[in-house]
Amino acid sequence: MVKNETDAEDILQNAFVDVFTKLDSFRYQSAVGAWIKRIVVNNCINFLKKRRVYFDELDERHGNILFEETGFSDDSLQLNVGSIKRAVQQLPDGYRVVLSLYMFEGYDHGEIAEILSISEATSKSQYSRAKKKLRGLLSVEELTS
Amino acid sequence: MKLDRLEQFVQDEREQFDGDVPSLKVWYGIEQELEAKVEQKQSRFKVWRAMRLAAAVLFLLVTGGLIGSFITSNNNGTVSTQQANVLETIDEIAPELGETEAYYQSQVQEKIQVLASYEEDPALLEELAEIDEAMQELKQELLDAPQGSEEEIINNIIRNYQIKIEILEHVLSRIQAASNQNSERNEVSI
Repeated sequence: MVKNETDAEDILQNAFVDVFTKLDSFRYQSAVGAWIKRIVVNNCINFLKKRRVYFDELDERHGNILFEETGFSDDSLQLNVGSIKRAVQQLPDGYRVVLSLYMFEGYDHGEIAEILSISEATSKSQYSRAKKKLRGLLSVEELTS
Repeated sequence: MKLDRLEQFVQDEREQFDGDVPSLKVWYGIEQELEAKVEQKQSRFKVWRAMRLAAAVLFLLVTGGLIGSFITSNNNGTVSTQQANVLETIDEIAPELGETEAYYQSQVQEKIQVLASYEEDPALLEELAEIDEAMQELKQELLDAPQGSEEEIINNIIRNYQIKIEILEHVLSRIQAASNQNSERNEVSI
């Protein structure tokens, strides 16, 4: 989500301090794992917000221009964990967050909308653009390797 | 929503994406920060306690001052706050003195009242005032007295009361004798 391992570790550290200090506010409304995950995610979002990443006004340039009309079909892509990881890292912050939350962390668009304080429709459109961009990045990597 | 090939792949291979493990220093950092937070809480608690204590002391001082000024105004200024404090502390040092004093004071008051029914002698009143002054001094001494010498001073105070009463009795008997002589003379003249 934050691209940088040091940042990620800092966030994880803060998140777990939060977890322990907020333990008494845990109300058993959800599984402990989900609760902790949510705290970590919220810490990530706060970190990104501090860096002035705005989730609802992502620049349109990234998604469309290059690969919109190239018509790569999914089938032509060689999918592997390493290349997908690398491609995700190259996504712009806003796209990467929405895509990570949806594709990897399994939140639905309603939840993502709530976490990022954006509308559900924005979450959906950002996700589809992010996915398109990811495919583009994957195909570029495939072509250059 | 139907999963496309990319999503399907990610879902199937999801666990393989979780290869990264945070370094040990993260856990160390968490530990450090939590300890710091606990300490911070404790010190905040200490500050809170100190503030409560200060508030209590302030409250006592203010109420003490108010009561003191209340006493002063109630006595039309005859007993100053300082004197009130002196009396309070004397009560602490020699609780039995208060009782003795009350007894002697009532005696003195009785005699002065009897005396007042005859005539007022400015010299006598002056003498009594002097004794009162000496008494006040003795009381002050009692406050500053080192441990062990309180008894002597208390005895002095009591002796002072006794002298006061003696003087009053003496004056009274003289007046009464004089009035008796007067009445005798009156009888004779009749």
